[in-house]
Amino acid sequence: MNVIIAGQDHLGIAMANKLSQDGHRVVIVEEEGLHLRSYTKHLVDRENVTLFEANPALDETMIATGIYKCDMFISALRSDAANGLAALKAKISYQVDKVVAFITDESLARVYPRFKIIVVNPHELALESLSESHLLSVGASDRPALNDSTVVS
Amino acid sequence: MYVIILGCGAIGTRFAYSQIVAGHEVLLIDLNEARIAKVETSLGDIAILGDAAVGDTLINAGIERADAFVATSGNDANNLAACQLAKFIFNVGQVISIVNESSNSNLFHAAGVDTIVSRTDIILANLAGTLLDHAMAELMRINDRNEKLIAMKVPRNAHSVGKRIRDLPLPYGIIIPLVISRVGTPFVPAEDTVLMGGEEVIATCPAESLNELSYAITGQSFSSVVV
Repeated sequence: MNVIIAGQDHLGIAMANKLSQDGHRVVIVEEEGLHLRSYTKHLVDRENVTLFEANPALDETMIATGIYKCDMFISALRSDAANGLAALKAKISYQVDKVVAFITDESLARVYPRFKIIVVNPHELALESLSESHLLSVGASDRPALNDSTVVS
Repeated sequence: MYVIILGCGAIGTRFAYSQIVAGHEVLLIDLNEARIAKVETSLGDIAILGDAAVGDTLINAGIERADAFVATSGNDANNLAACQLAKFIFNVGQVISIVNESSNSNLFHAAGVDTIVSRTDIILANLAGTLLDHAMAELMRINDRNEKLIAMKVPRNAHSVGKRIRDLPLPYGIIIPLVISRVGTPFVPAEDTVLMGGEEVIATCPAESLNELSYAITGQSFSSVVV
């Protein structure tokens, strides 16, 4: 699979790491400083990973990074709006099959699925994994579980 | 009418003023405190600080009772996200956006924004109108239909000069609502208005007929006159 990841968000880099380990071809695009980050250094030497420094939301960047042959575009930029624009472009202008956008705003998260963009909320993921780890479970037993409101104890 | 405007820049502020004068209720949203303070000294307490690409900011702004949302910021990503929230989450009747990067126009349209105003295109159109005698410039796209509002200067030596509008070989579907005379006076032309060199013709035209229209008025094809 050919994957383009826009942005050097930690989550994007983690996905790049996993996908390239699994043998997919990954291009990471970020405006500047990509090579300098400590957490991208270990990716530089991988044969199937390319680091590309340019504004990820520009058409010329998208074309240069192979958007026409791209199977999956992941938008992991700094803001919801930037992710929305890049993801919409990948989906609408370049008809990429799978497009993922990292969105933290709950309302915006309801906008993009209507354009067949997969929305991932990194904040929710973090909270979920925290609660799975029971770090947040102090006093939780006092609170009725969400779907159990009809149960009389 | 209640109008919410994203961006307290020159465009947002002046548009807000025009809406207030027209008797509408207006609220401006901006990320920058200094710009908000500036608006408040000139227009009063009608601006709030916040990111319009966040649902809660729009709810605080009373988006649920807004009749129109207008995005005027210099950031296309923010303009688009805010417009999409207004349109799809809060069902605002009219959603309008400025597009800073003209190559984004089609995307904004496909992404659900009702009306798009391309800043670059308008500036180019003005420049073209000033610099070139025969330039045809696209002013805006008209809603969902594939029609454009365009402006054209009649070259002084064009074959259309001295002819009545009805005698010009205009393509089907053209409307010419306005002509601007050489001294800058706008007037509504009639079918037997005679065109003069140096006049500016404002017309609506289906996109596929731009070439024909350009040829009828300027004697040149669209591609050779556009900037």
